Order: sequence, then structure tokens, then C-alpha cells
Amino acid sequence: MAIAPPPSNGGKKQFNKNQIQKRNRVLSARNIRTEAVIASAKANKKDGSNDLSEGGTMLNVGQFISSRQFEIKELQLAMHRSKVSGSTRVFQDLPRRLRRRTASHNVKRIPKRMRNRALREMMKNDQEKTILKTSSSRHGLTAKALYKAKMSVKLLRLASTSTSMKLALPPKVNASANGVRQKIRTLQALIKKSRAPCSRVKKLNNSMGSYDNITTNKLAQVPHGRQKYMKRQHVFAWLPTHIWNAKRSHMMKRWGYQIPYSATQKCFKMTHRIGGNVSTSDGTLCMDSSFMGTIVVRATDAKTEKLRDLIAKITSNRAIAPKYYNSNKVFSGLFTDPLTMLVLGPGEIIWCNHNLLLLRVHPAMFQKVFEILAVREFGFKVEDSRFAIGSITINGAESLSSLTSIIRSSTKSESFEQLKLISNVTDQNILPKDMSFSFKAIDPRHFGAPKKVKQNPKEVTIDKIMELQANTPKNEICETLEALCSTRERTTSYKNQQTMKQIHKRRRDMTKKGEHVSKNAIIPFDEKKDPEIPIYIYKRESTNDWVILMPWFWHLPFWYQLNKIPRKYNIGLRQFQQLQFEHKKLYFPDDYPFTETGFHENSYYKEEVNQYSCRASRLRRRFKSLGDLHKTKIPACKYEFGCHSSCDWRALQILRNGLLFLTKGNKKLILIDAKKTSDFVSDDPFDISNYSEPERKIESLNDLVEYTNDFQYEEGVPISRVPVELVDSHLVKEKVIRTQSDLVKQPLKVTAVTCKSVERGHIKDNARIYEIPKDQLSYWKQKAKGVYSSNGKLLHDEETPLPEVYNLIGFVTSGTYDLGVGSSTGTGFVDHGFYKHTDSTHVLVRNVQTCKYRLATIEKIII
Amino acid sequence: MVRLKSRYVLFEITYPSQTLTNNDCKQNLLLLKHKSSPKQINSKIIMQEIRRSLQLYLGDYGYGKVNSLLQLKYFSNNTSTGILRCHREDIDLLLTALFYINKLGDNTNNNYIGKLVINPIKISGTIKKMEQFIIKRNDRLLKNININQKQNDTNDFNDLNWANDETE
Repeated sequence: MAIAPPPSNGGKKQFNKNQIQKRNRVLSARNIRTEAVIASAKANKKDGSNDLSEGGTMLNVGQFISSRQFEIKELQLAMHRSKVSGSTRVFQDLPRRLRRRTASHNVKRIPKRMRNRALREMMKNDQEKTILKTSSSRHGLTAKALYKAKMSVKLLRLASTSTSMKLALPPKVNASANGVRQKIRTLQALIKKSRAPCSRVKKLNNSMGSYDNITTNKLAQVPHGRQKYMKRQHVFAWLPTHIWNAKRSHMMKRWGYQIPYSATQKCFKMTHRIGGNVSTSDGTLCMDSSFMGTIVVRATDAKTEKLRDLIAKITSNRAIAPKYYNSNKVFSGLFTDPLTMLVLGPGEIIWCNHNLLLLRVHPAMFQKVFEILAVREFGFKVEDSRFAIGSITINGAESLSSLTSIIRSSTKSESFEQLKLISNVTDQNILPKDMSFSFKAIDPRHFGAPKKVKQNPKEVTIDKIMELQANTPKNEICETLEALCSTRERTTSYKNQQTMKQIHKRRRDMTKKGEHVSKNAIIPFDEKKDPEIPIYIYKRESTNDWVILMPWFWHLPFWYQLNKIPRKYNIGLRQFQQLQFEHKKLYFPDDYPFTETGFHENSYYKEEVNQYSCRASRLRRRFKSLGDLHKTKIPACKYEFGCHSSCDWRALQILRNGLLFLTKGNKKLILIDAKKTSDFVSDDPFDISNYSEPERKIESLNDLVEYTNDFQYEEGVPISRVPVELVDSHLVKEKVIRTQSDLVKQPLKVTAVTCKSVERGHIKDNARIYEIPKDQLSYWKQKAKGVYSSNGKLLHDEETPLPEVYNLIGFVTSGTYDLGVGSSTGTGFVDHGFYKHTDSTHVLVRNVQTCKYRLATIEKIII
Repeated sequence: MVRLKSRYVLFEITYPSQTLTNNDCKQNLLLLKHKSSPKQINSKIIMQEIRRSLQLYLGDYGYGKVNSLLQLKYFSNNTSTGILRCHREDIDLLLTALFYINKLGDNTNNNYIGKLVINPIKISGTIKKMEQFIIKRNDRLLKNININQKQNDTNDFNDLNWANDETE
């Protein structure tokens, strides 16, 4: 029997009907349509002079333009078609940041305008749908009641089912004998009664549940939020935008808040582009910065001078300069503890008037600052307004235009007019320094959609911008600022705060009445009813961004409106840090090792975090296989000097101070003392009565390293609280290391620097900075010029001479690739003594857990 | 599996006039160089001519190599621009072939058009970027025309030197 040969298809794969259809669709989508040849009178000429120029000199502009416009349109269409042709579901058209998980079967994950189509597509594919119930079948209990009911059912069930619980009770005790039912009944009656209006309970003045939450002279309570989510906010408070951010950012639980750490979407390049340089920036970066602690300090007239003195002490006389004290500019600078003279960290001060000021500090140092201010002897009224005043930080060229498209003043306001004038200015560097605006705004939800302010670009001249500063409406700004700081005014601003439902109803009524009113029109401000929100907007020179302060419960409306603006992106702390890094600015607390908070962050927090992340065995490096890290092997320093997963400032302090101690009086530095028999000083080993902890004898470098190892975990030794101290360029006192105990008592003076790799090398966090040993100078000088192999290629990874342990001069606190510079850079601190005997700008940088030294240039940062 | 990588070439057909004076060059560059192509020119003719040029100047090797993936993705007579696609490695050969072309069609079919130059403007790895480039280029041209019209209110395009700034 002959077998029929398979149908010949010429070696090509055969497609089924569906595949052919799809193929055709894709092919036709890729086709770019062309315009028909223009059939003018001259088109039929034989010589082919069917051109756009008649007679060779004139251009037929109409045709010329139309054909090019046609081309543009067709190309755009072709691009769109080829993108869409492959997709079968509507959400595939969405940009990445609008896509949501489970959008394929859950309609609620798709924007409303696309839902109908999505449903149709689901029907077509017979797909399983997750459609949430509509509001008609909602249960009759409120969230609170439901929570309580559920909880009581759970408890009852537990009590009735668990035998151990029953057995724990005495035998005669049971439900009927104790009248449990009666008790429940009375309880229920109590609950019912409590619902009735009571004279003692203060009713809120709005239906949104907004209230002002402050305490005077003691720390405020965490706002409790919705009943259902109360338990999650006990320790770490939620920011106003928590629910919004939790969906779009990685959250971080620190400093008593849940803070958006970084946007879920990749955004390293985007942050650089929009937040960095003006010319590349075409959008806005927004961050909810409500976690910054706000304190309002009030003094009576009698204590005005006292307040001034205290602030002078805290800010080393800087914040009382007339610019801040009289002209109400925002001061931002370092805060110092007036008792210990230790630097606390950066903060901002705004003087509303001489008796009232507003402070903003990082939450890590909030408590400390609050305690300093709230000392009873001063007699100030110190209000913890952490949960009463919220803030948004915005950045980028479009920040002012997006801000003005959601904000309108309630009445005619000079300050708002000023803001409007510069609303289209993209380069904030041309504006006067420390600009601020303050006025009473209307509820931003009155906007259907954000509306840009119409401003003629020709109106903004340099003269007008110069006038801005001279014509600042100081009275208005001060008045609104005072309103923002006062509890009563903030509470008034919540009066008649409307729900979304009420606002929608107003808009509906408005559009019904006026035929020509569009759906997105602004709901006009009603003076009698509508709330007025005091807001304060100021520019920060150090970070090159704008901050908007507003009452806590008005934060969310502004935030939602801001998010309707195109090219607005969400950022978190990590991106904020990146921007600081790219601007060569220090970021608190990571880059502030000379403060207690920063030191803790550097030494303990990072160590913990890094050790935890290194637990995976594949990430754990074996130090033994690394090779030599230093030229001379010091027995006490097996691998890395100090802690290998953090910046060990204590070790650096002991090392650098110890070097001074060992070379005191031009003594020669001994690396290892081979003859030594004992590590400790002991006068009389048999004298038990005089027994104390043996003191280490420090005579060589090896002893010094041993000594640093002692200090890894030792407590109770009199040491300086912070091992390093920022050098004050004006008064550098010569530090004297006389005794051995001075090694840990004398803080090391350090200078902030940025390093930049000369050639290859990726500087990472915690990298070590070494000075170039004198005997290797010529080699590294050559290296800076480039070492070439015989075939003319630049050598990158050849063997380099190694420095000694004692060449270590500092650490890199944050380092990564800087897109602005185009190479790897790092921010760090080096021993100030390094600058004393060298003018060199070159150093060696080595990452932890590697043994490769890379040449880098350093530059001082002025804080 | 390795993806097939291709290159896209944006070209325009220009018809330089025979008698170019210095003055012409400065003033009417746009007018003299850019004309819409006659309707005899179509994608088939262009492809034929490229293949002929390949065969003639690069031999069987060039013809066979380039022709394996050669496609004309787009050609518009009104704007005289088009997009060609070829294999990534053959781009140099294709450009060489384009360089030698100075006529299209032949007399036997009555569609001969001579004295033209095929000018490759841009090479790109994806068609999307190419399309974006053409849009940008056209946009700039239209903007220039608008500006000129506002300034002079005539059709005299003295300042139009757009064609040179992106041609390399």
C-alpha cells in the first residue's frame, strides 16, 4: 500500500487560519500609507518636472506643507498601529506606571474610561471575571461597628470552644449563673446611649473627620486614622498619602513613620533627568515630606529676647541674622545642642514674627530638638505639630507651573499674583534667593482637572523678577503663616470640608444650571461656606526644590490633584538622596557621621542591614581568598580594618589619633613589636585590692589595631559620643593627644569631600579612602596619566602597589555612578590632618570586600 | 536564539539642477534640490535600480548578500523620501550601491528619469526611531516655513538651511 506523501508546502511552516489572520493584521499595521501623487496640471509633462516648484524658482507652499503634514500624520499613525496591533487587551495600551496587577481579570484595576472595553474583551474570551459587588448590597454596619462585632464574635467563639478557657474558670461559674446575657444587654444599651449626642463631646466641624492634632510641650499622639487600620499605625504613623504610596512605592518603617522609600518603578535615570538639570527637565517630581517634624514655638512678649537667644545658641548665631529674623526668610542650616555643643543635624527655621516661629527637622532628630525647646524654665509654648502640618516637596523644571495649575487663592492676593507671574519659569536659579509665597487657597478639589495659569511669557521680564523681592507682600505672608501655625485657624480651615460626593454633587448642579459650563470647570468659591486653606510655599536653595506647607488633612486633596498633572512622577527618600548626591550635597542622616544620628546610621544601622543582606551564602565573600589588602600584614588586622560592612568611624578615630600619639615628639612609627610579651600594662599583678581592668599598652601600630578591636562592642568607657567632628574652617584648633585615653576622648576632625574615579572603578557605599604613600607617588602620578601596554592599550587592571593600614584617612558614606558627571563618584569624609601636609587632590579608594585600589580625585564640600 | 538585526536607511531623492550658480546655492537650495518625484517613480523601480546597481558595482557577492533582506519600507513621491531596510552587516554595501545611482527606470518602459541623487540621511536600528526622526525633521521644516512666512510674508526662503544640518 502506498503511503500518500505529505502535502508539499515548499519547506515553509504552515499556519492555521488564526495565525494567518494575525499575521495579516500585523503586516497591514506595519504598512505606512503614502499620499497619492499630486495630480496638478503639470504632472503629465514628459520631462518629469512634477515638482513643487513652479518654473524652478517658486515653491508651492500649500502643497509642500500639506504633503509633509500628511507624512507626519501617517508616520504617527503607523507607529501607533504597529504598537497596538499585537495587543489583544485594552490595558496593554497603558503606560507602565498606570498598569496594575491582575488587570486581566479584575476590571477595577483598569482606568474607568477603559472598563467597558475590558469587559467586552473578557466576554469575548470567556474569561473568568472578578467583579466586585456594587454598592447596592452594602451591609448596614459602619466600619467601626463591623470591626467590633467581628471582634466580639471571635472572642465569644474562643471562649466557648476552648476547653482550657472553660476549665480555667471555677466550676460554678458559667454563662447563665453570671447573667452574661444581662451584661451583654446592658453593654449594648450603653453603646446605644453613647451614640446619642453628648454635650461633653466636641463635634467636628466637617464630615471628613479632619481635626487638628497638636500637643503643647509634650510629644503628640499618632493620629489614629480609620478604625479598620488602627492597629497598623500604632508604632509607625501613616503619612496622609500612605494608602496612595503603599501601592506605588516601597515603604520603609523608620523614625516613627512609614515613609515611601523609593518608587516601585525604575526611576534612576528619570530622577536624574527631571530633578537634575533644568535643560533636560520636563516634568515634576513629588514627594510626600510630611514625615519631617514640624514644631511651632510661641513666646510671650516678655520672653521675645529669650527665644531669640535660644535660637541663636541652637544655630550658632546664624538664624537670628536680620535676613531671617526681620525679613522672614527661611533659614536652613545646622542645629547644635546648646548644652553639649554637638551638631544635631540640618533643620529649617521660619520666623513668623518675633514671638512665633516654625521649625522643620528630620524625624530622627525631632525628639532631641523638641526636648531642647520644651525645657520648662524657658516657658515657651512648644507645639508638636508633626501631625497638624503636612508638606509636599516638589522638584523639577515644571514644578511651579504644575503647582499653580492646582492652586488658586480664595480672595485677591498679592502673593499669589507673584506666584502666577513666575509660574512658567522653568529655571529656578534666575529667581531671587529664598523666595516664599503664602496665601489662603481654595479647596483644590474645586478643579475638575488641573488648569494652567494663563500667563503671557512676554510679561515675565528680568525687571519684574527683580521686583519680586522688593515687593514681597510681607504682611500677607506673615498673616497667613501665623494662621498656618495656629490651631484655631487650622481647625477653621477644616470647617465645611466637603466629601468627594458633595463636591461632585455641586459640580453636577452647576453643569445642569449653566448649559455652557464644561464638566471640568472650577466650582466657584463660596465665601460664606467654603473653607480657606492657609498654605506656605518656599524655595530651598540647598536642595533646589519647593516645599508646600499645609494643614495635615488638606494634604491629600492637594496630592490627588497634583497627580492628575501629566509628567508628574512620584519619588521617595531614595530618589531624594540621589538628587542630593548629584548636587554634591550631604544627605541627612547618611552623610552626617559627625552627628549622633548620622554616626548611628553609619555604624550600627547599616551594619545590621548589611549583615542581614549578606546572609545568603552566595553573597558572602571569603576574605581569605581576597589576597592582601595592605602592604605590611599586621597580625591584629586580619582582613578589613574596622567593621567590614559599615563606615567604622570609631576605628578611624583611634587610628588617626593613635598615629599622632605614637609619632609624638618625632618618634618613628613601629608597625609590629616582635619582642613584646604582654599586651597590657600591669604594675603589680599580685595586688588584688587595687584590681581594675587592665589597660592596654600601646607602643606599635599592631597594638593600636588591637585597641580598635576592643572598642567594637565595649560600653561604659568614657569616650566621645561621636568619634568624628566636622572641621570648622574658621577655627581649627590643634588637637593634642597627650594620653592614651585621649585616643577615644578626642573626636577626630574631618572634612566632607567628594571623590571622583580617575579611570575605571565603581565607588560604592562604605568604600575606604587612603592617602597615597610617599614612596608610591611616582607610580600613581603615572597612573593618572594612563599606563599603557606595549600594544598601546590602556591598562586598567594591572597589579598596583598597596598602601599601608595607617594610610587610611576616611570613608565614603555614599557612592555610586553619577549620571551628571559621567563617572563613579562618592561623598565621604577624610581626616582633616590629611590636608595639613599635602596639597594633593588624589587619593586611593577601595571598596570593602575587594583588594583593588583605584585612583580618585577629591574635592572639599562646603557645608 | 539570536535576533535578526537590521538597519533602516532614510533616503531622499534629490534632483540637483544642472546650472547651479553660487547665488542659487545660497538662496534657493531648498527649491533646487527638493522636488516631489514624478509618478513614474514607484517602489518597484527604486528596488530594481538598487539591485541593478548592486549587481553592477558589487557583483554577485554584493547582490546576493544585500538582497537577502532588502526591503523598501516606505516611499512617498510627494516628499521624495523613503525608508530602506537591510541586514545590519550589509549597510555599507547598500550605501555604496545608493551612491552610484544617478537615474531611475529605463527608456524601454518609457519611465526613464535621470539626473538624480539618492541621498541617505540617517541610519537607524529600529523603524520606530526612524519614524520619530522623520517626524521631527518635517516638524522643523514646517516651523521654519512658518517663521519665514511671518517674517517676510513672501515665499522667499533665504534662511532655510535646514537640509544641511542633519545630513552627514
